[in-house]
Amino acid sequence: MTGGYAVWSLLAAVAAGSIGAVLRWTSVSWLHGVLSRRNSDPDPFPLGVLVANTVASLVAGVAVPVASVVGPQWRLVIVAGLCGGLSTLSTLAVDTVAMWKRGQRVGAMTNLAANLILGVLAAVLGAHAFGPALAAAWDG
Amino acid sequence: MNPSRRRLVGWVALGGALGTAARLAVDALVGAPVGTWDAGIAVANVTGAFFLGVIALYPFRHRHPHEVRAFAGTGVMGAYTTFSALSLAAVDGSPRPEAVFGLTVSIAGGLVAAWLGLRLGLAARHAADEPHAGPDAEDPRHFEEEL
Repeated sequence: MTGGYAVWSLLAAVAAGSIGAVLRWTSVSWLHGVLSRRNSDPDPFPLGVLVANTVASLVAGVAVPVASVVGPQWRLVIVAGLCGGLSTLSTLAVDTVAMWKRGQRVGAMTNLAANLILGVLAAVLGAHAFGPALAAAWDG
Repeated sequence: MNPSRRRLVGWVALGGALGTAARLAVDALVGAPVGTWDAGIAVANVTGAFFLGVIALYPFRHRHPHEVRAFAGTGVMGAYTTFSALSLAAVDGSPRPEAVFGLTVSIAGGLVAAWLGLRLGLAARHAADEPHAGPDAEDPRHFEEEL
């Protein structure tokens, strides 16, 4: 739904998506390194994607009430751009299938459930707690 | 940060910009015509999961397979697909059945698509392995061959 958006906000959303992707890569490669060294396991639990998806859901939740007072264009930049680039469904799906195929059935189900539960909880927390407080502070 | 990691970041950033632009385009093209649920996000997520599956196991002949996967996999496909749009639909006022439907299509469709993509990538790897016994590109994800 990009029909009514200004060109600047589309370009800013693309730039924000690029930043989101780099943040996700940082989270994934750092946590992969830490966990694989600690447990001497070449295939540790994909915690980096879980962190990226949860943080993106929280920020997207916060952005909805905030954008309603700051300006609707910011919803495109932050939600579709930054949070869209930071979060991922493709890596979650590929990691989960790979874990299942390696025989890590519990790990695969845990990965899926953790992303879903923490993602929705983070979005609720952002949209109903942090977001309204931030929007009120901006307005006040 | 060493030079090779700095180069990887550059490829992820470029891919992330392209993936985000592609998702905005798909969402604009598909999003509106199909009912009120966000069909564009579902289309992006399912197709992106398929391509990431292929990319994860495809035997890239390129001299720098890590850079290719950082660009096309982590960057383009990672940013083209999204998870936050799914969790956000639970709180942004979207009708509950549509939010649940969108989430289910993305997750279930994404898992099937990822599985098909990994199968295709593995088939390509086996086909490439047969004529010669040269050292294969090291897979950074350490996938097992049984995929």
